[in-house]
Amino acid sequence: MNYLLDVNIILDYFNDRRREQFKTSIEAFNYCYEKNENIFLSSSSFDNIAFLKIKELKEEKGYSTKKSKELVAEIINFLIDKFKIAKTPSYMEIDYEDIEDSQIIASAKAINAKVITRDKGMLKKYSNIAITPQDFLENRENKNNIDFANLKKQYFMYQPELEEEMDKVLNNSSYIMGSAVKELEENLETFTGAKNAITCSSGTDALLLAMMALDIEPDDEVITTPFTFIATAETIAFLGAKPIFVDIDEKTYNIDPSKIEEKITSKTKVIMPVSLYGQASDMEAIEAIAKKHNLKVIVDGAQSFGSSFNGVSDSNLGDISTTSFFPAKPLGCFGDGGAVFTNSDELAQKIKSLRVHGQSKRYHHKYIGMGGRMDTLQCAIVDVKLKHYKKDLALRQEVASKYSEALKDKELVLPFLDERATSAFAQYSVRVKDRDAVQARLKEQGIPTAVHYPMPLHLQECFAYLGYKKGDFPISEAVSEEIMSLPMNPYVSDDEIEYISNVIKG
Amino acid sequence: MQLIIDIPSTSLGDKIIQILNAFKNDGVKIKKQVESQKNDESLLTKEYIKENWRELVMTSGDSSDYYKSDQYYEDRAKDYEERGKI
Repeated sequence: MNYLLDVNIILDYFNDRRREQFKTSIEAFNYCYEKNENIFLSSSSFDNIAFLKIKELKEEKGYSTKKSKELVAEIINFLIDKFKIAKTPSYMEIDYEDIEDSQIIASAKAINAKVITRDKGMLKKYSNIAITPQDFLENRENKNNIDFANLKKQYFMYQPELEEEMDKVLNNSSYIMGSAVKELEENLETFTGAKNAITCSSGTDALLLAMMALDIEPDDEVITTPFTFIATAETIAFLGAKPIFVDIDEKTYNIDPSKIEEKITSKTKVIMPVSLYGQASDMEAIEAIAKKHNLKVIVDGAQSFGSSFNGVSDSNLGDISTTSFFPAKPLGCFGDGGAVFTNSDELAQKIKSLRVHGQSKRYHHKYIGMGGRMDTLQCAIVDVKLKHYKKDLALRQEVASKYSEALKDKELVLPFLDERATSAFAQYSVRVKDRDAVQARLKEQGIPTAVHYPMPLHLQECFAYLGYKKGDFPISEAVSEEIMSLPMNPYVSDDEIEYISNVIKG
Repeated sequence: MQLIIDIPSTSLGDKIIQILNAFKNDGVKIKKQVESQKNDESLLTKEYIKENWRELVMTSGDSSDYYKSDQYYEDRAKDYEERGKI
C-alpha cells in the first residue's frame, strides 16, 4: 500500500508544540521515515510547506526572509531525500472550496495511495482515501507480504525518470520508431558489446525475426530444449519448421551439448539453446558443434539479458541472440518488447526490414515480414531501466547468493552456476521433492512461488504431431515435476530470505 | 564560573533553562538572558545551517488554525504580490 503525507503531518514534525499535541502524527511520520518506501508527498504540497514554515520562522524567530528560505530549503531537501514525490495529475477533480485538497487527493489517486492527514474536512469529504495517523498506525502492514517480482517497487524507484521520459514521448507523439528507439538500440549495443541491437515487439517475435533472417522454412529442423517456455519451439513450428528436442543437462537445466550431434540431420539448420533462468548454455561446446556441421546458432536469451559466458555477454553469443523485455524479465518494459542482437551487418539489415513488413523503403517490400516494432514508449522505459541495470543485476546476483547460503542445508537442489558463466537470475529455481506441499506451505505464509515449467514441451498437446512420448526426455520430465521458483527481484531483503528459508524448512 | 552559551531556538532555550533551574538550590543562577542572536544571522553560515538545521527550524507557535484561514489566503496573496508574481 502506498501512503501520502498531508501538509499538516509534515508541519507537526517541525513544531515542538504540535509534536506534543499530535503525538500520533509524529509516530506515523517516524514510521514512514524509517520504512522509507511507498511514502509520498504531493508535488502540490511543497509550496505550502515552504510558505507556512518561512512565515513561522520569520515571525517566531525573527529570521530574515532570505535566511528562513535557506532553512526551509533544508526541510524540503530532507523530505525529498526521505520520501517520494507524487505528481498532481491532469485528471484531478477540482473542489473550489479547497483546491489544495483536490490536488493532494488527485496525487494520491495517481499512485493508488491513502492520504495520512489530520484535516477534518479532508477526512470527511474523502473518507475512502484520507485516513488519520491513528488509523494508519493501527492498520499498517506488519505481516510478511512478499512480492514475487516486485515490479511496483522498481517502478516507484525510477518513477521520476520514467515519468520524464514517458512525457517526452507523449509530447512529441512519435509513438512508432521515435528517437527513443534508436537511443535504446545504441545503448543496448554499448551494454552488450554486440555490433547490432534491433528492438522488436516481444521476445517471441525476436525469435521469429532471427529465424526469418536465417531463411528457416518448412521442413527445416531446429534443435532446441524441451524444458523452456513455449515460445522457443512455437516460433519454430510457426514457420513450418520442425522443433527437434534434445534433453537437458541435469545441473544447469540447459540443453545438453553431448546429446546434440546425434539429432543432426541434413535438414538441421539451427541450434537454438535457451539461457534458462538467466544462465547461458555451454556455448563453447554448442558453437563447436555448429561450426563442425555448418549450422547457425540462435541464442534464446529471453531470461538472460546481462549475463555472460566466458566473459562475453549472452546477447553477443551465437550468430544471433535474442532477449525479451516482458515486464517480469530482469530488464522489463511496461508491456511487450524484445530485441535481436547480431554482429552481422547483413543480418541486422534484414532483421530491420523484416520487423517492418519486409520493407526496403516505404511501401516497397523486399521480404515477407511482420509488424514487429517495439513502440517508442516501451523503448523509453527500457532505456531508463537500462541505466540502472548493472546495479539491479548485481542485486539479483546477491539475492541468489544469499538464498543459496540460507538454503544450503535444506533438502533441495539449488541452482548450479557454471564457473564460466554469470547468471541474470531471472528466476531462482530449486528442485524440491514434495513440491505441491511446499508450495502450499509457502503460500499459506504469504510467500508466492511459481513453476517454470510444469510440463516439458514434447508432452504439450500442440506438439503431439511430433510424435514424442513420455520418457523421451527423462531429465526434462523429472525436473519439471520438482522445479519451483522462489521470489526473485533485486529487492528481496535479508529478512525475507531468512523467513522464506525457515518456511521451506517447515 | 560563568558560562555563556548560544542557543539557536527559543524552544531549545526553554528546555535548557528548565534544566538549569533544577540546580537552583545548588546556587546556579541564570544571570542574564539575552536574545542577542535573534536578529544577528551572521552565525547562521551555510555550514552551520547544514549541521544544525533541525534545531533551527523547530518552532513552537500554534498555527493550526491559521493554515487555510482567511488570513492565510490574504497572506498568500500578499506574499505573491511581494514576490512580483501578480
